[in-house]
Amino acid sequence: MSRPIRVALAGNPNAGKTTLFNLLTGSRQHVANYPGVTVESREGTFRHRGHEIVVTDLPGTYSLTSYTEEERVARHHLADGAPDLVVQVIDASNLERNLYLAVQIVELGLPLVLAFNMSDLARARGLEFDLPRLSALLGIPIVPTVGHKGQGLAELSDAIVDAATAGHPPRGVPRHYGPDLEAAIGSVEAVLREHAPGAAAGRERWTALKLLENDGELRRRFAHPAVVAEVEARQKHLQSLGGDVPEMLIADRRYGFISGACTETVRTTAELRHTASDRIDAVLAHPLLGIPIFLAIMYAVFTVTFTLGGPPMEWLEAGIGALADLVRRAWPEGRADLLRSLIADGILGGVGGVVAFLPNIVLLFASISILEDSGYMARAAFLMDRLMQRVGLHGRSFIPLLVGFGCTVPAILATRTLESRRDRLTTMLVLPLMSCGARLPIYTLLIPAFFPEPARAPVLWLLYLTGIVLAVLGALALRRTLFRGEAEPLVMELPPYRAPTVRSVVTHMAERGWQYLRKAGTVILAISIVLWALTTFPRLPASAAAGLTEEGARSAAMAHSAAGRLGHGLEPVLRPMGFDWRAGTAMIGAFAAKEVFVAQLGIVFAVGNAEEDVESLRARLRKAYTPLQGLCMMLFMLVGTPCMATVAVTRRESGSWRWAIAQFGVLTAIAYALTTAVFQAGRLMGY
Amino acid sequence: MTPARTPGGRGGTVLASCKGGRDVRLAGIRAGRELRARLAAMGLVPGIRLRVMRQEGGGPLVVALRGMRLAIGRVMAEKMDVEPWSGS
Repeated sequence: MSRPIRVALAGNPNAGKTTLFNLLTGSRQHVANYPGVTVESREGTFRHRGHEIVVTDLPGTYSLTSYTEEERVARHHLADGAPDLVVQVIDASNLERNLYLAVQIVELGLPLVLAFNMSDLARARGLEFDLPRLSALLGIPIVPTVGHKGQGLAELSDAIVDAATAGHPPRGVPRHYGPDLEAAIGSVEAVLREHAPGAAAGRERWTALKLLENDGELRRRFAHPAVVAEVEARQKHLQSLGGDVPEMLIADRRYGFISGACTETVRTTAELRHTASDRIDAVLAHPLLGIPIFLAIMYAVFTVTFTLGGPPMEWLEAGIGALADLVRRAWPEGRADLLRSLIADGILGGVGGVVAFLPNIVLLFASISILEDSGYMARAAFLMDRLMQRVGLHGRSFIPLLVGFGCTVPAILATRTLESRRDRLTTMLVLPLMSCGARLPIYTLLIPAFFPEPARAPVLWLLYLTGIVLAVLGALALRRTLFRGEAEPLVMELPPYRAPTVRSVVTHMAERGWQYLRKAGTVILAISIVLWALTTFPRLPASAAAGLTEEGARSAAMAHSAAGRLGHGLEPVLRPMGFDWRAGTAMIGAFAAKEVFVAQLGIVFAVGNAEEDVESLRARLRKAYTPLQGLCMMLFMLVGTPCMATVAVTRRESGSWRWAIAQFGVLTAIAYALTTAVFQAGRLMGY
Repeated sequence: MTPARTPGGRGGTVLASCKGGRDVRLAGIRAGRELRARLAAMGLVPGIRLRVMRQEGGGPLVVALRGMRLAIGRVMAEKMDVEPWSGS
């Protein structure tokens, strides 16, 4: 059997690349994340005329510079991954900008086939194309397709096989950049051949062009002094001749050629009309109506994610709880008790903690995928941009932050919709400050325990507000320190509205759910077992438990365990915040999930079942702590010690433990300082 | 078109102060090299014709160029010098 044909699928964002990829490869695909980057690309295979064809779906880019992560990934795959052939999806309604990428792929010297996606929009605009003429001008084959109808697939597959098996694959004709630029390219090429022979691997012309364009990555790679000197001299010369930096002169030339080619081959039969998208935008992106509509849509997303996701979450938890009970019942007490507890409490408890998030995550990503595919996400960013700019964030950050009120874990996953890494990390790092749903049980336990009725709602409100204010301050601080630099200026395409396909939505749901289970899930499971061990070992000797009630024995066992001892040991550190060892022990347990704090308090205060016996637990808490201490506990649980699922997901999404640990450490430090300040100030005021 | 606010322009102004519905020619962008090159890749090269589709004081504006719609933040639009479009 012959070697498979390796095809790279390139194109602008929103060009219809993913639709075509799905149509070509069907379900035989998987997500390939590049190590250390958040951008992902998919790989899929199909067979045509006896050839195995492996398609890599590259991230959508406008250009092959190295400014954004997407561009670097796409360029690395094209320049260094040596695909046999590139297929670029062209959005016919946006021809000029799409061809800008095609011209650069030709410059790389890669065989290229254009899939000319004739969208309904292009048709509605009355555009007519002379494709044979355009194909001749570019020197590359063009196959017309209608993505969402699956037309032109067979022809495209034929063109792929033809191009890949041809003796002279269609590489197109590199553009001529005019005498000044060509002279500069020629001389840099010569210097490259002399001082860095072989390093450009037959791509001397492209390398020279990129060096003149001041490409950061290539300038680092070709740092030979002779090369640097030549490039800088030529750049200076070009700038004096052309009145602008070379990269602008080059972009201008490319667009000049493209405009020329388009004038020759594109005919508009109808005057550019007010398109359907503009009419929809007149309502959805309306200056006054836009924001209420956006908030209503967000409310719907919330309802879907957390209300619709609630019952399946409970079923999953109940199912796993039943399984744990089954183990406990089928496994007689007294025989290998430790293993029994490890399986029932440690492992099954951990698995429960992992899968509990799954319905939320899957539903949230269904919603996000619909918003993204339909084109609405860009409008939401457009609407929120004004507000978010003040915080130093991108308009798109608003959605993850809002989701954070439900649960931090899916919210961190939702930061994927942010393009710039700076924006993404800033949003991710402040996200745990948005008071998530799991903190609510803590508030509902403690607020009524310590505060009389008229004060309850304001205390709750104050807690949420504190989180928001801290998140805003945190984002501003990160922007001024770690992620300094010009605020990402908003220049964003508003793609035409499209009906999202069921297939794409389902694919997204399945992928995200699986990724979460595989990557974050394993870490969460491991931490669960560690926490189980902390609250189990060392075990209370049977003699010490003698004569105690069941609750008393559990409480004593907890005090005797590593977590209890840790709580005791931490007491001097915790005291400035107003906490004793019992609160400390409960907080250690709450690392598993914030709401576990309630159950843990129930155990250390020797109340049977914290959920059923809420009132007696509240009574004991009232006896043990002042309202100020209760408030401080809530404050600390709000700000500090993000739960292990958050840590695991931050690690996974940021690509390194560094960010996850820094997030945990800094938030906990802030919480410590803030809670201490509040407690000490409160005490001084006599509370 | 409002009177010249930027030096050197022929009746030039900045994109941020253009009224909705106007056709203008992009004269230049006052930004760093990298940003300008990135915008050029999106089609924002000097000389290109832009139509201001939406403009309501404060928020980002929407322009049409090369058959697409771009949302441009106000801060960015303040740095984009434009001239009235005359002929094709």
